[in-house]
Amino acid sequence: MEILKVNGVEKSFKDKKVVDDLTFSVNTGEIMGMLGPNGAGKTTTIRMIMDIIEPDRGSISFSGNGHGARSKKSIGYLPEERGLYEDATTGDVLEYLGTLKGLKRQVARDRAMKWLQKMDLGEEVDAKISELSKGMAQKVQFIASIIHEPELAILDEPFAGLDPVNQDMFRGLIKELKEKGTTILLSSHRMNMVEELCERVFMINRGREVLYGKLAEIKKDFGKELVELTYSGDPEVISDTFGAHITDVELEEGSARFYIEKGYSPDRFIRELPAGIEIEEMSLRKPPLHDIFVAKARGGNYEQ
Amino acid sequence: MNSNMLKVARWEFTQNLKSKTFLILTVVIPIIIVVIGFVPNFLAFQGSEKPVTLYVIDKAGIYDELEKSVESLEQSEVNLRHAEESEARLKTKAEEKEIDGYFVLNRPLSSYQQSPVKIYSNLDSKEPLTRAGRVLSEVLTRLVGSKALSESGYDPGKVFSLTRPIGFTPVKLEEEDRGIGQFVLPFGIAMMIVLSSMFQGSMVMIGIGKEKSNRIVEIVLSSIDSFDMIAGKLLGFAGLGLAQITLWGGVGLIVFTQIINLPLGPVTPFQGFYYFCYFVLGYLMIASIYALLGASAKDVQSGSQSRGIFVIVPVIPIYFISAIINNPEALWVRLVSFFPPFTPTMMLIRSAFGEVPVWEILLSIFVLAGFTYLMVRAATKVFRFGMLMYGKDMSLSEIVRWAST
Repeated sequence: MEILKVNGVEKSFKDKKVVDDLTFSVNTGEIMGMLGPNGAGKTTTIRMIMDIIEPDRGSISFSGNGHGARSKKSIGYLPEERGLYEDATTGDVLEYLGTLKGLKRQVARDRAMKWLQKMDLGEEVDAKISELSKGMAQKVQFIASIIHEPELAILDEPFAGLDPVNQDMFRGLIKELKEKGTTILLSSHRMNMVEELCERVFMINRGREVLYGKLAEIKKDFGKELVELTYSGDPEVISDTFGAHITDVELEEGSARFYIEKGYSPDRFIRELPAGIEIEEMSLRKPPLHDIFVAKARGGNYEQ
Repeated sequence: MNSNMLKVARWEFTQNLKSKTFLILTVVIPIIIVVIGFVPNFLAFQGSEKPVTLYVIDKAGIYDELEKSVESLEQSEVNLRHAEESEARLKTKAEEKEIDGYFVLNRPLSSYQQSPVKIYSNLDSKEPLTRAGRVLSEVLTRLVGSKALSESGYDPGKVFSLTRPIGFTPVKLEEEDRGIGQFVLPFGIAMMIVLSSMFQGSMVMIGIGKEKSNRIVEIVLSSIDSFDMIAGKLLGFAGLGLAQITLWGGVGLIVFTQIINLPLGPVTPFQGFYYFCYFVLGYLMIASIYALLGASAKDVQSGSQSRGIFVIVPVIPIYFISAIINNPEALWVRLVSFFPPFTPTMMLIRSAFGEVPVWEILLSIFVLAGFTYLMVRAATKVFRFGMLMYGKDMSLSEIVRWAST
């Protein structure tokens, strides 16, 4: 069941079209990835979903209705641009933002405390935001986006600026939210992170759809298999053996990375491996999203 | 008024009430204004109030009588000393300001009625010498008169009591009941409106600029409508303005009624009504202008710099205050009173120094209310657009275009 439906949405700033006829939906209970390089139009699309700016064309509906006051209360939003009230205390900020989402003050305060403790920030409840480290402030902002237990959480670049430890923590929290029934729209240009968390993805570049669907199907449809080898022997043997059946070949001293063409099965590839090299390590897998995206967007001046 | 607006208003009120900026604007700056405005005058007054000491070179033989007469006065602006030194020596001392001054009595007394006594002095201010001269003139005239009357066989005391001058004092009938207290209240409110609105307006502008720079605005706008946000902000700061004015007004009231002992005239319910209307509408109008400026600028610094010229608009009537006081019923004053940015200040100053017809008060409130509503709407629209336009100032044409959509 669709919780969010974006239909034919367009947005231009002055003469520049930054979102061009985007159509996608988010299903209840899933983590949906919205992917694209910086400047692809992800944040503008999210701002239209949040009713911060209006689309020039197209429609957006939440749970089958239009989007407006009710959807604002039911959606949590972590913006890409981070910022909080610098002179206010952590507890006050979370309480205020919670009440704006419809919580009673005491409920907001209690939930803020619970989340702060969960994130090891319990002692910072009376600290001013300006006294917190960047990572701490980012955690506070994350809490602010989900304190009202939204039906849908829209997280725009949630991992940006986080150290690896906190990235893992956020990844765990996102999974936990999903388990508790929150639907998540995760926007990021970090494809590996999205690949790990999302079942479905919507990829855009320069405001237009590039890919949309289930991650597994996208990979299957792409058809190619990625091979990564470390070996000893003459590197030219590989190119000579497989010829046009492999593409995007990157050969270095003792290692190789390439794709097996669609229709050339992994079984056949293994059987036909040449005798002139000694393989030390080999992986054969579906290609990462990053490679699929680059391949799809090639010719569209993809920038990352 | 919905609950989101009230939540924003409450937040702005409580957060800013605790801020150093509010404390400075409410307590420190008014103290500085009072100090700058009153202390120099007070000091000048204090300096000039001190009686001068004049040395007298007496060749007419009346010093003792003169000194006695001066000392018999209840409050004298002058102390006299009999000069023992030469005139040249006194002149040097006066030039070097070792003494306040001196004068010479070396002619028959009656001759001074034709030409005045010259007081030689090098004091910076002539004022204390003029006052001393008035006292001496009165005393000396009396002495000369007494002598002349006695010589003619009259009793000087009797003659002086019979010839005491009869005074005339002009009293304007309309102002018979208007004590100075009647001016203080509306005039004070006008000043407080301008000051408080400017302070709060600046805080709104700075607040919006800050939220725009640190992007918190996106979180708020993802929760509530932009009109609720900006109207809530204006309301919150109106509350701060009221708190500020209550504090200033309370202190002012104590100063006027308890310390200066100046009774403030009674306030009629109608006066109370229009004082309140001018304050609330005037504040909302000015604050929304400032909010609009803040939302259209790329950041706080830019807001205060490039928009500085507009910030002084509400203050302009203050520059014309003496012209308004001199003729509060002049046609230009009445016409300009209906230009909304000037209305609250102009109307309150006019009501302080003249009688403003009720219909003019009501019409001006109506016009002001309409203009204020339009300004709040315009501020909201510019805010909604300008808030997400990072990195550059909005041009005037863009402001007009977005404000009028």
